[in-house]
Amino acid sequence: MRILIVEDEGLIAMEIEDTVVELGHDVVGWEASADSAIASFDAHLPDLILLDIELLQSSGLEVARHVQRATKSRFVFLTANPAKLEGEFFGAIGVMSKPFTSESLKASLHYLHEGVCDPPPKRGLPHGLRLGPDYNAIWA
Amino acid sequence: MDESDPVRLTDRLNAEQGAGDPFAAAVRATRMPMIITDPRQDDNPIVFVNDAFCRLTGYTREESLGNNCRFLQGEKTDREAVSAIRQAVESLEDISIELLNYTKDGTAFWNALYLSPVATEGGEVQFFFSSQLDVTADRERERQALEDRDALEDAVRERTAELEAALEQKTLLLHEVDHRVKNNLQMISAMIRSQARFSKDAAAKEALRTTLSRVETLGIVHRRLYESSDVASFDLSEFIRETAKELVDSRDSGIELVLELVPVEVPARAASPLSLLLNEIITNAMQHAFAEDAGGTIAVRTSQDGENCILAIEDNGKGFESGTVWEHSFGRRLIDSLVRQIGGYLEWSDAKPGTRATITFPSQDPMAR
Repeated sequence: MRILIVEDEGLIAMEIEDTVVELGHDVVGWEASADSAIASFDAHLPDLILLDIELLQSSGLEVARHVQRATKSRFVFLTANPAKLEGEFFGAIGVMSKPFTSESLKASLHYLHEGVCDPPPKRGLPHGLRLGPDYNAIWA
Repeated sequence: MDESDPVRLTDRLNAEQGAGDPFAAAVRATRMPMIITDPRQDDNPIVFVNDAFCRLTGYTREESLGNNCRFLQGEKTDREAVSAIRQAVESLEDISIELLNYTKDGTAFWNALYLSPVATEGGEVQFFFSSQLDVTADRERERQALEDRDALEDAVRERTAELEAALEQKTLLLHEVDHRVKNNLQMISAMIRSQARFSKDAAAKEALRTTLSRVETLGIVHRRLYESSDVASFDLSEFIRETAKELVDSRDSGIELVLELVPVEVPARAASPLSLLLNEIITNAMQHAFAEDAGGTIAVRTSQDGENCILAIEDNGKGFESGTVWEHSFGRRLIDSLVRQIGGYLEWSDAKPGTRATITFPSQDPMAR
């Protein structure tokens, strides 16, 4: 999978990037603000976006709305503040709550890989990932 | 007309000749202001006023007699009240109404007016009798009471708004702090893992990995506590379900995990130490209980026994006699401290084969009892 990481904490972004690469996926970019994330998305059209909600002076929800309008690209929220979503998923596959363990990130990426490349996923839903309503209907 | 004809009576009263008539004397002297008007004359003029009326209004008898009593009205007199009175007079009905009147010197007063027609035996209305009562003080008290009530209501509203704002701010602050704690825990994990990745030394890598596992455990506890609706208690078994498998899987050790769990609610303050205990004991079992690549089974059980909870972690490895690495380690010290912290006790026993760690601890916060 070609993956875009949208995360304003460099340390966390680095850790996600390492895990993504370790699992054999490509990172097409790491962005820390909504504007640059939208630009990067338009340039790369990644298979999957790992999307933080609280970004540099902006919100991941802006990115979510753009992606939702644009294409069939898929994204997952990675947030310490899932309450911000207020039950609205903006077409996201689901949400991973921070803090997540490295193992649960790996398990979720395996699951998402199956879901994106050959849906629905064969393996069970990993602990750290909660599906949004759209995907809960077709994947769960 | 006989002697009791009111016209004669008033005539006599006007002329200050009612001395012998106890009724007239009473009307004249009562503290209740009273007047009589004559609707048969043009514009229904006043034909009698008593002393109390003069005292109330400041008008003399001479100034009052012969005039319609509208001279008591003024700028702020309610027009509706006036027309209600007029209507009562026209339809010869009595009326009780409060209206704003003015004294001769222009002072306004609230007048509780009672007006009623006086008819002859034949039914013809000859007079209107009316009494006035200065109810300004009542009105003032009423107004003051309303004002006080409004002021009180305003104060309550204001205070409520302040409290609501304070609560909202506190909630915001709590969310902000919670968010930061979670992000920081995530960053600490990321830092340790990245450091481990860059470490060439196997022992250092292992030490970092052990530390990472402890930090991640605290992270999950924090997330679960704040995700649940009840931040005061914590379901230990649900936590075990989420973490134990991940812990076993993380080492590719070929170890099978068996979970036998009943719901165990523990106080929030016991959540972190219990979760760390679980992490330490499972990690230790994976590292030391089994021969290299031999695999095996680790079982985690929870149960309730009266006021106590029991958490048992059992392996079917080499047996606890051989667990020598364990004795003087940081892990062992950590376990002992955590067990003490939750007011419980830990028993190591021979599971034949393998080792069993049984932690018994009070299910309720000792501080809360």
